Amino acid sequence: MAELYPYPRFSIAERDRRWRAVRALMRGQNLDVIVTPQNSGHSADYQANTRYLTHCGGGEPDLAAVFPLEGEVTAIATSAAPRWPTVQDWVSDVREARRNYGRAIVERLKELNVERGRIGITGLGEVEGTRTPEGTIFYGTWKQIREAFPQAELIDATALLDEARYVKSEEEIGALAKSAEINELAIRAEIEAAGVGVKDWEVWAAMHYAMTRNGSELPVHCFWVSGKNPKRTLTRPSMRLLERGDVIINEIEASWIGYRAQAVQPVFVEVINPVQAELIKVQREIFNRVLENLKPGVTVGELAELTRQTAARAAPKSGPAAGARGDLTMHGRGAGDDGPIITPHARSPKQLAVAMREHMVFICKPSAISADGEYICQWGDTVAVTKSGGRRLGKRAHELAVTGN
Amino acid sequence: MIPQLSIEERDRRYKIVRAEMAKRGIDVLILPANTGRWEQLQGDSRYLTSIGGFATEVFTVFPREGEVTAFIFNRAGWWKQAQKWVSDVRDGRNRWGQNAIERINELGLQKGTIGISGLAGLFRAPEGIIPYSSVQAIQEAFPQAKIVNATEMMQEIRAVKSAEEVSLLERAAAIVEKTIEAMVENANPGISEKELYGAMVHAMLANGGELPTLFFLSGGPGLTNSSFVPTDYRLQKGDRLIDEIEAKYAGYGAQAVCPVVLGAPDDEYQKLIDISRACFDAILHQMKPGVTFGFLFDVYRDTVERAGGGKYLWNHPVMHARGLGDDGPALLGDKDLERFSKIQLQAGMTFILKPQVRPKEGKGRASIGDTVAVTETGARRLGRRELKLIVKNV
Repeated sequence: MAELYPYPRFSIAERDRRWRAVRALMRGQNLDVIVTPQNSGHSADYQANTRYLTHCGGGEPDLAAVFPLEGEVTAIATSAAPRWPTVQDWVSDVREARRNYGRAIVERLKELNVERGRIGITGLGEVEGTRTPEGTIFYGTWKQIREAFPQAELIDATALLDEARYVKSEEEIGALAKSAEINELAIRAEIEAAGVGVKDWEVWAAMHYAMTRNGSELPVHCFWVSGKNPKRTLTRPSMRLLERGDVIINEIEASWIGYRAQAVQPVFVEVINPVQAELIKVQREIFNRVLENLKPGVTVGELAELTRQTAARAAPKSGPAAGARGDLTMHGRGAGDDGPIITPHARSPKQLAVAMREHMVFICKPSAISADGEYICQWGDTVAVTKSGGRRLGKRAHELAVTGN
Repeated sequence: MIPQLSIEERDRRYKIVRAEMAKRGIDVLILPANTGRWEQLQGDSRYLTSIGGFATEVFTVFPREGEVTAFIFNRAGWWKQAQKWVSDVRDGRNRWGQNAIERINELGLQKGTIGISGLAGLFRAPEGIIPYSSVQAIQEAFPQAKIVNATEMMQEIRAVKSAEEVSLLERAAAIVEKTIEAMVENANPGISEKELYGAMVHAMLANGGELPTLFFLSGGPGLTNSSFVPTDYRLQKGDRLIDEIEAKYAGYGAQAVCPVVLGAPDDEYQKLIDISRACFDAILHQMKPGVTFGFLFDVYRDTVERAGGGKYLWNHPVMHARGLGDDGPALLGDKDLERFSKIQLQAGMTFILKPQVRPKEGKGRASIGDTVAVTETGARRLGRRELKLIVKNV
């Protein structure tokens, strides 16, 4: 066994819990093996299943895994030997792909004698992933498996891994809490760096500095935009100079051993917009009501309806927030591409029907929107579902931030 | 809002690509979205749209005749304003197969030849980057169409950079050197790899760098390899810092390999670096249009032998192209050497040149490197720092 780097890790007990849970689901579907293909797209979100099962990952390498119902789990990587036995102690069978992952996957599947078996593949494309409606396995990889195993059944195992990953363990929630802590350090750095005349890009750089020096891996998926009244974040900062009255809106995600909590925190430069100052009161009320109701059995659809009702109740009769409405956006948080997801634009019946379970974790970021649609106030934190309602993983005050205070 | 390339540069690219499509009988090109490997795998799509960066997925349909279409997940409106190359930008929500079908139907190319760049054969993704189900959907929608692999075509076109592209790489190389300055300034006993990495990321981004980008850094005694993830290890006197630092500007990534030692280096490590530097100089001196990669490799081997007094060996990789991502030619292993040995350098090719050296007996290896560009008269470094083992007195 290689000497392990000083790096945060999950326990062997956590590995065994995951493997037991996934294998129980495999038995239910009569699967002999699951292949989680390499695909480092979308900040490595698309291969989260590989990291979930092998603990190999970080830094956006391509990694695949072969996970049999019985027998040794195999991780497949390029530059395997120097890279991955040093960061994890879950899997000792780490094989060299030299970029030809399909070949290594086929080799391992042959050892497992699944020529006529049922081979599960995550991201096969028959079942929509949260952000991958057409799957994640590359054509060239699929072709090698199909040609090597013409008699085998290839089954889409996306939903199986989704199911296993929906409910987080204490260790996973601990990792997400650490990520949430880093997010809040990053927000603090953002508030400290932002000011009149400062380049938007430099504030963003300061935020990333806080994130990485406090242990976040890269890449991470952070959204950002600044301006007088921006309504939607972009994936990037700009070179514009901040002005008094500007607001930076964001989605900040630090990655702690691959686990990504999220925080949404509007930051105003010197002065808060008066409409937003009123809207945050409605938004806070929505957030708190949703949080209270994050209990096992409640569906995503019911939470969306609760959002609308709460906004109608909480919106004042007069003033800038009069007639404000609410929209719920929430989606799973964890190792990457976690579901379920609900946004004002993506509300599939399947996702709306998902019921809360204890230890599910979400970014909950409802919006309060002014009656004329000109102002959107969004604030969010990562929350865990408990029997008595949701628990925030972040600790910062639920308010609009302002620089210069 | 974002760094822009000129319309002339766009037209130059479109002209070359369309001429090559005509030669190969390709009616429409599909350039998949995949931001994997620090967004290097999406170089082709960005090359023809100027859209990308910060993990923006862009799926492109590029007809031989007619308007180019870029599909973004859900921010098409912004992208229409943020760049001036492509006006037909659509929200595609990552339904790439369906996106391609929609546009190919509009173009009336249901029976045409569809070239997919990224079907197979990328240098770092030989199995391609397009999902199986996207290909299947396109095949089923257009049973009379012919699907061909256009990966090599795009690799060949992108291998030769314009002056505008080289200028972006030069800008990226300057950001790399700002990052190196931050490394040297902050690398003191007691700092953790993570903290040092953070300080370097800060310097990179504050100077205009783009994410995601390939950036490996490790510290420790006697290290020969860098890790994908910085750790909690705290630096000590006598440690080495091993790195591969790549900064991107407008998507163009320049790279440097810049080893550092805290305190006096041991003689053997210094010797390895000296030989690497001798190889760098010898190869750079020979790089010019018409010279083959095989010849450069001979220069490398001979220099290791001569400078090392017969006690040292060469090691892959010696050089690979740099640009928008997964650029070629790339001499990463023996097979690449076979593939490219008779290929000649052309003006406009750009590489990270980082000859690696190891002792014939015993352990260890080292390299030093910088991004270089081939010109009509020779080759030049894009970086400006002194190319040497940095010794930091602590």
